[in-house]
Amino acid sequence: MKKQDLRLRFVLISGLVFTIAVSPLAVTSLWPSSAFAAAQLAQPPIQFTPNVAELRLTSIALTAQMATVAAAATLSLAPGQAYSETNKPKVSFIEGGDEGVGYGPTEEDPSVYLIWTTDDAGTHYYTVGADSDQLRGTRDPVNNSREENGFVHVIEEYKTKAQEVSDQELLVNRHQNLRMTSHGGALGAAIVGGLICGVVTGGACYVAFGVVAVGAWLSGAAQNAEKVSAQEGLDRLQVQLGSIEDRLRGKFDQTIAVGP
Amino acid sequence: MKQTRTLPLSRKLLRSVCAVFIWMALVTGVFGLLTGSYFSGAAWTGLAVVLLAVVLEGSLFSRLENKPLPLASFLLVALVILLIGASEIINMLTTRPALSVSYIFDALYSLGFIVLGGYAASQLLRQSR
Repeated sequence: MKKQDLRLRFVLISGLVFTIAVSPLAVTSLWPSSAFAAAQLAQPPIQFTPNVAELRLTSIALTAQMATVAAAATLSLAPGQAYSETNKPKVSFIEGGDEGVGYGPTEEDPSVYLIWTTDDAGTHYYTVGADSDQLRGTRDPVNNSREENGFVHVIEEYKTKAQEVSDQELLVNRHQNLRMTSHGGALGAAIVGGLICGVVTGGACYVAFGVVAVGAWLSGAAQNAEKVSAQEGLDRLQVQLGSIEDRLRGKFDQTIAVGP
Repeated sequence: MKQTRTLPLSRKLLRSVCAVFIWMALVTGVFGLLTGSYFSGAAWTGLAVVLLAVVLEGSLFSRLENKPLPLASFLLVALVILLIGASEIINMLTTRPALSVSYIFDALYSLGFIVLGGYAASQLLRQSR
């Protein structure tokens, strides 16, 4: 076999093996785009010293959790208790949010709600009353209506934004797919057109295939522009989602500081 | 009667152009499969595999080898490779790097096309001299 044949064969097989090897790696390592999902995957076991006297609220989420886990192990379920992943009470259902951030009534006592957020240290849980101001929003002293400043409202905002991010990711992928497809089609039309026209018709259909190929290339270029624009929109949405996640953690810490 | 200039089709040129197309089809197919476009993903991947098999098998290329082709055939393929190559270079320069599946495939696609397309274009130029 010629040396050049061997070289091309090697290039082609290497490309195939590389693509097959890289694709699953890329997906498994990069798919969990949410910080919450990534944190959940790498959640370390929580260590605590049951020393209530040393409770400080400087790092509220962690220290409050450590302090009350011991109490929660012996006392019955009530608002104002913090839990780790291992000893948290079960919820009947997730009323809002997801596994990373959310809230829901506890199975043991539906009048006690569990709220949770996730950060680099893992997921933190805290119990509040079903009618808690921190959960549902503070009351207007004049007409007693709820303000939209409760944990549930930030969760709702988070959910809406997370959906927008997901939709935008789909849009970016769609434009990307169409760009690749169009450019692949352009080259395919040029190769097939060139060969068929040259070998079979002696060039009778060059113009037709040329128009198809250039049209497909133009379509791919347009899809690329759309993709860049959609990617910029996705970047903006992800920054906004990050800001809402920060607010969620802040609201969680505030709930622990203020009390259930 | 007007004479059309023809050039012999070399096996090396055929393989280099097919290599570009196989790369494009393969990356497009895998990306489609990973992002939920299962039909087009499967179609492109299947096309890439079939074409790769044809290239490796070689008998079709043996029949096409040294066939005289009008210069316009080469020009058509070269034009499209140049147009797509220019797009891919612009895409690589303007896309902000990010840790996402979309960006990685985008970069792989562009880089692969620039390398393989550049090689195919050089073969086309050499052939048409």
